[in-house]
Amino acid sequence: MMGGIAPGKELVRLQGVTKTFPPPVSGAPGVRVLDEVDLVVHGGELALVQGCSGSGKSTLLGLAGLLWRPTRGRVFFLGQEVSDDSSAYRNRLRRIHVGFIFQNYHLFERMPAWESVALPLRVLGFSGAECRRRAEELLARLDLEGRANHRSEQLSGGEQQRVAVARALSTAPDLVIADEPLSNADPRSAELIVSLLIMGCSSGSGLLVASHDQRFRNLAARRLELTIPDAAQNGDFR
Amino acid sequence: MVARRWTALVSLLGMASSNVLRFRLRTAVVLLCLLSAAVPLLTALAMQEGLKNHALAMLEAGPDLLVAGDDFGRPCAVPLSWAEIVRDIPGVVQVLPRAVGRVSIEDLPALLVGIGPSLASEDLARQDGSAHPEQTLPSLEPGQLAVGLAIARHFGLDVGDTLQLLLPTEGPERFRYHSFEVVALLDSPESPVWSAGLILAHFEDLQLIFLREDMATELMVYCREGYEERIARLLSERLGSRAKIQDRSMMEGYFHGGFDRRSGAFLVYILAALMISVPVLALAAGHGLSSRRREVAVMKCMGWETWEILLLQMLESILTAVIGASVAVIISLAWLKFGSGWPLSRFLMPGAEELPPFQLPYIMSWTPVLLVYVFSLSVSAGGAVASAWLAASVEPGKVLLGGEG
Repeated sequence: MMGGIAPGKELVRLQGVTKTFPPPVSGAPGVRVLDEVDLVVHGGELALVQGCSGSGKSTLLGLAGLLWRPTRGRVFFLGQEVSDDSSAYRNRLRRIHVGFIFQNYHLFERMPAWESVALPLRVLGFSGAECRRRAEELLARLDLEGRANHRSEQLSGGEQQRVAVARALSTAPDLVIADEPLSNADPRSAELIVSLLIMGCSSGSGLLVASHDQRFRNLAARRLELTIPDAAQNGDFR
Repeated sequence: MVARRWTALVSLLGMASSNVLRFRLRTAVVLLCLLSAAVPLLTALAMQEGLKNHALAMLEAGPDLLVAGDDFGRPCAVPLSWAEIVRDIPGVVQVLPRAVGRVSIEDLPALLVGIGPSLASEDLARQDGSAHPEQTLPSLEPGQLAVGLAIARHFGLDVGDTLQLLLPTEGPERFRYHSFEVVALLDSPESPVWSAGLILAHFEDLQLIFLREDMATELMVYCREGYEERIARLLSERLGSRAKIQDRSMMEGYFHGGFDRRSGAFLVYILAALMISVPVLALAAGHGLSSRRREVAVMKCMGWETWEILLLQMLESILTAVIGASVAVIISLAWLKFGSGWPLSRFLMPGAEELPPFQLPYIMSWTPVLLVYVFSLSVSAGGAVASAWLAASVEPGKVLLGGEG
């Protein structure tokens, strides 16, 4: 049920993708965030996306994680084009193969840490006990064994970030997409997070990270620098 | 595959139950709305059913025929001499004259009842052998009373006390106080409802009180089984248009007419309150879901499908509704058992301004209980799922852009 892709296999490929969002005011032209971008992520490698604020890093991550459809261009996942596939199919691919780490953690209010981590496992057919066992195991690896029953608001910022990482890794996904995973982490948490992500990488998972942290820069197999598209190119959206 | 789906469903149920606790405020609001709508309805329906059954049982145990006078189409008193005419009809087991009148004791309404001397057909009475309710009443001498529990409690009366009644006289003063001795309290377990506001007096006292010498309000006629119709026909022939003969089905008809009209009006009132509570409950069930939009978006990022999010929401609603309906049934039963449904009981029992001093009869049947479960489920789930559907239509990608989705 969960992922298990051979290292080196192409996981996701964006080919000449452009993304334009609807205009904030009707009648105005759409807002072009990405313009003709190419990217490929293989199993077992770290791809780093960098760029200034507004350059479309998060949008790129969303396209690679099958959250958005490109306005133009093609998206391949595990070698298959999925640009125009149904939302349900893309959902299924995502739940099995992709794990997300959000910049703002997005943990659920008043939810115990183990339940947050078990959230992606619930729809994969695991029993409650199995969900809990896996969640506690992951939390222990992130030095949070005593925090499994703590609710999100009872955790520090660094602990919340680690719970969010554990949640993304709970299904052992083939592709981990992380948006500034170290932005609010203290040095110890950052160290733990980086080592766990890299461990996943070395066991075959692909890692797509948007970050300006030097540690990722040193480890990245490929790097994509994004710039803000020319405003004059704004146009149709999809 | 099927086993895995079941495991996922059970796992979702576990998550739904922890969500019910996680969103405590929403759960509390929904439960409160459910209880405030369901508890009065359940209690009223159980009381209505209980009182109705009790009344019908009393009618069943009562006389087979009632003979009253007919005065321009309205019932009026009958001469006691009719009792002998009735007794002589073949098939009549026993005839009991009864005098009934309403009095007010310091603004407390009471029913004064006196049972006259029995006239029995000796052969048939011996064959019949059964004791009629009237024969189980305490035997009284003139000047003695037996009072119902509600009246006894209201005036603090006990056996041996004296009760003064202001009654009409034929003299120039028109009204005069009469003293009576209380010799018994009517605490019949078989008929607590109807005996509570009753004062039983000697038949002759009743005739004096209501200035009706040699008259009775009606004659209660007990018949041999299967003879009722024939006796009623013969009574009509012998007494003519001066008599109004009522058989048991007519008495039940009068009872249903009065009782159903009273309880119907009350239930319409309760149902109206229930209908008003529906939108409030639906809003409460959906309350807080806007704050869950971000959660829904995150779940979609993890690959949750819309139907799975709706299923989770549905399970949460079902849990809340089942808890609410079950608690409503328990509270309603406790209210009936320990509080006799007061003050709701006063709508169904005229004159029951105070907490009844006896256990009010009630029947909690399956139909209203099921009705409450269905109502809770449909309103709670409907409101919650409609709101969740809106939330489930969010764009998950917006979470990545820092929006709520």
